[in-house]
Amino acid sequence: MKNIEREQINKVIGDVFMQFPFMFAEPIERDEIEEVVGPIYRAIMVFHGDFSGKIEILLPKEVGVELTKNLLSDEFDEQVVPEREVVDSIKELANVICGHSLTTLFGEERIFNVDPPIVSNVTQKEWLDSLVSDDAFYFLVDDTPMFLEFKHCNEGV
Amino acid sequence: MKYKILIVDDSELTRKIMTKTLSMTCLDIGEFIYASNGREALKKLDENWIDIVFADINMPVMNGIEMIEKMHEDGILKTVPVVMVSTDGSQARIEELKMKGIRAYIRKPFKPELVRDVVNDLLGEK
Repeated sequence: MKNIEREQINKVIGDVFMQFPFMFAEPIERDEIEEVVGPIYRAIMVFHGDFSGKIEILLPKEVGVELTKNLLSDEFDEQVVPEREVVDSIKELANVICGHSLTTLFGEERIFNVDPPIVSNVTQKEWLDSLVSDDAFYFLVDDTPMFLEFKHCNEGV
Repeated sequence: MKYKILIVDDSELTRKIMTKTLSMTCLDIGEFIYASNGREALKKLDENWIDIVFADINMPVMNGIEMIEKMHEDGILKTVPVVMVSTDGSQARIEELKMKGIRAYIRKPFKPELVRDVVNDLLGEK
């Protein structure tokens, strides 16, 4: 991925987190990622069009819970956030990130079809294995690490 | 007269966010009605007088575009303004949706002020 694309993605993530759940996402280097305690979620968005590819986001449950609380603040101030709500929030976040990343990278004149996001749990080993990808972006979201991978290719390549 | 608003989205979370956002505006809202796909929405439109519809594009059973096409086959329902709400930023897609009959497009994430302005624009400021 070119440097300009990396800068664009970093900006998209920062803007989406700031505007959507009102959280602060700061780009960091791979070696700044620390071990994560507790469950980790993976959201995958696959897109098709003039370019095809996928966006994969890995984030600790802690970020998902905070995300849900911020999106539905009236509902969960002091309560335990149900798993279903956390998964739905992560899907919505992935949707927004994907929509904004595609427009930013490829312009407003292209039409993409995006499959519904798929969210699953990953192990600590999968989290650590993902961190070595060359297409990866790393962030601290309110002091918790998050990983994003963006892969795309021209249709038919 | 208070507005009756239909929110159509397969995600319960998105329906909640839309409700919360609309509630944060100063709009005079009487009731929210919900549907999780286009087919359900057509049923609710048949059963209720709805002032404005906020709908997602991608939904199971019947998507937002199919829902609009069905609404336009009905003399009364085609007068109900539909606002599409999506993350898609493609102008080509938005033009395509306007050709299908949507009255406005809101891109996520959105602020209450934008939603208020769209409603006022379509239904007239009270």
